[in-house]
Order: sequence, then structure tokens, then C-alpha cells
Amino acid sequence: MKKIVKYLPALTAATVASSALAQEAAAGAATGDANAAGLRAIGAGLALGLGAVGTGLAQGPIGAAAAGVVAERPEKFGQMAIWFFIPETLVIFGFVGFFLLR
Amino acid sequence: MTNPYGYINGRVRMLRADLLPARVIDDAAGAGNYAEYLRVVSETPLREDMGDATAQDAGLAELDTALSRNYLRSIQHLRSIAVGQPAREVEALLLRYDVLNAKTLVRGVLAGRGSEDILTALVPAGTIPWPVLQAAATATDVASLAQTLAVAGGKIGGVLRSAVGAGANSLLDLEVALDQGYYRTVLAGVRGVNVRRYFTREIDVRNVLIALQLRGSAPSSRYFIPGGRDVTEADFLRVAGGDNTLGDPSLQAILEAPDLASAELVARRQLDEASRNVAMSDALGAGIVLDYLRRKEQEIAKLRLIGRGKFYNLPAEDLRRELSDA
Repeated sequence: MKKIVKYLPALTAATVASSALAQEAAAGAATGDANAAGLRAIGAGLALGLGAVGTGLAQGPIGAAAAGVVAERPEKFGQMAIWFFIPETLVIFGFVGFFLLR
Repeated sequence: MTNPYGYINGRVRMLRADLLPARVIDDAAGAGNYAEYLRVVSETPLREDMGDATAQDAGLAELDTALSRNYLRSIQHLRSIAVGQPAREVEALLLRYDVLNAKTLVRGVLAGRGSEDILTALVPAGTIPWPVLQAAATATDVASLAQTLAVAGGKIGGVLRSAVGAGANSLLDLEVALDQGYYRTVLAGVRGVNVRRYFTREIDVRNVLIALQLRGSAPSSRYFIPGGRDVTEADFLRVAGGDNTLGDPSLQAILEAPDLASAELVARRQLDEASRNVAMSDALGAGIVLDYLRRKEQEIAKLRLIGRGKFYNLPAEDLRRELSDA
């Protein structure tokens, strides 16, 4: 019993320390998960957002030129629509990235 | 961020696609007679303007009217497309026809030609209203012509009046004054780098041609048009004085032409090529419009020439030669 009392503080300290270390590790793991989730969310946002910005940048001049062409030749609407929608692939790829990262 | 020329050039490209292909011009040139020529032209997009020209007793006057109407319609359509800064640039490009018309009027008045004669030589394009040109064609002297154009003829009229006011009275003096005013206005109005480069080239070419024209008389720097890139005032005076060397190979080709008419032909071909180049390099600028205007002008000039050739039964070989020079 004397021996136990002698080692009690050390045991207590070890118990408290191990408990504290376990809590810290658990907290660290939780923080790491949160960081990863945050980075994934940012990546998903960038994939979708940059894809949309790229599509917008491409469709601006294409749309203006297509509107000019259709104003002179309405029968070319279908052909111009195809050219206009081709940059949409950028935002579709962005969507794919977005869902993969979520 | 948005470029207004994206829309305008989309439309102009479609207008350019409506221009007659070389095959149709060849068919028209190869027509057996005037009636067949009219039939070929009537099967093209020009048919809606041909009207009276295809009537039983119609002649060259009706054909000229029809071609002029088509040309004017194209120019008006082009002007209706552009707004804002592009509209100012298109107007600057159209000033070219004002200068051509002002020169035709000056030549006609100095030579004492009748107003009907002068009117048939005018180009129904540009920014000066047709009634003003008709009134100007009845002028009896250059001063009254300048006054008429200045009151309602816009910038070029003002340039002509200033030149007359400054004492210019010979044809060359007046023509150079008109060119100087025109290029000054154009360079002030045109923003696109490629189109400006084209105009600096045109100024160089014009300076070389004027210098060739001045040979044999006392060279004067007052005939020099500022704003060019490769031909300085010193080069201009040197060429006018009889020197036949210039650093630029294409300008050198103009100098080496055997006579002034051949030099003008070489110059015209070089400028045609330059306008095609600017159309390719200036996809989002006024280059496409510039190229379209030159092509449309050539199309009408060729049809007019073929029409005359067929009406007077000009031999096919002569007509082909004339067309290659057009």
C-alpha cells in the first residue's frame, strides 16, 4: 500500500498526462479533418468558379460575333449556337471537379 | 472588357461573304454581249438594284445608276451598324470617298466640265450628302465649290476652303491639301494600331507618288504629307529631285515603275495587299471594315468596267488587261 501511495502521484500524473495527450491528439485529428474539409471546399469552389469565369470570358466575344452574324444571316443561328455553347464545357468540367471534391 | 467590334465585324464578315466571287466576275467578263452580262449580274445579290438597267432601252447611264445605288446601299448599311467609337472610325474611313469626290469636283471645275459630266464621275458614298455634291457640281469656280462643300460637306469641305483661302489654286496644290487634311483627320480619329499602320503606309505611298509627280519641277516640302512611317521629308525631297533609291523594297518597286501610271498601279496593288493583311491581323478592330470597303469599291469598279467593255464590244483580251489593272 505504501508503494502504491509512493507511486500515486506519478501514476496520477501519468494518467492525467496520457489523458491530456489523448485529448490533444483527438483535437489535432479533428483540426486536421476540418482543414482538409475546408481546403476541399475551396478547391471545389475554385473548380466551379474558375470554370464559370473562363466560360464567361470565352462566351463574351463569341456571343457578340455570333449576334452580328445572326443579325445579317438569321439562317446561321444553329451554327452560331454551337460555337456559342462550346465554352460551356469549361463550366461542366468545373462542375465535375466540384462534385468530386465535395 | 467587351470589344464593340466583335459584333460589328461579325456583321461585316457576312457582308464581305456577299461580295461577288472571282468566278462571277470572270463569268461577267466572259459574257458574249451586253445583254448576257446584265443577265449574269442579275443573278447575283445585285439583282435588287439592277431594275431599270435591265429594261429594253436601258444603256450605260442606267447601269451606272444601278451599281451606284448598290454601292450607296452597302455604305449606308455599314454606317447603320456602327455606334460609338467604331462609328467615328467608320466615318473616318468613309472620308476617303469625300476626298475622292472633292478631287473629282475640283478637277471638273478647273477643267470647265459640265455638272452632268462631273456627277457621273462622283462616287455615291462618303459622308457628304448627295444633294450637296449635286450643288457643288454646278459651281463655276473652285472658291464657290469650296464654299458649298464647307457649308454642308463636313470636314473635307472645311479643308478645301482653308486651302483655297491660303492661296492654293493649281490642281496639285488643292489635291495635296485635301490629302493632308484627310490623313490628319483620319490619324486623329482612328485608334486601332493595325489600321493606323495601314494609313501610315498609305501616306508613304502617296508621298512617293507625289514626289514622282513633282519630278522636273522645283521640289517643295509643302507637298509633303506628314504622318508616314518610312518616307521622311528629306526622302521626299530627294525622290522629287530625281534620286531613285528608297530603303523600303516595296516603295522601291513603286519608284522603279517605268511611268507614273504603272507606279500608281504598283502602289494600288500594294495597298490592296496591306488592307488584306490588316483585315487578318485586326480581327477585333476597324481592319475588317477597311478591307470590306476596298473590296466593295473594287467589285463595283470591275462591274462598271466590264459593263462598258460589253456595251462597246471591247475585245476580251483588252477587257482582261483593263481588269487586271483595275
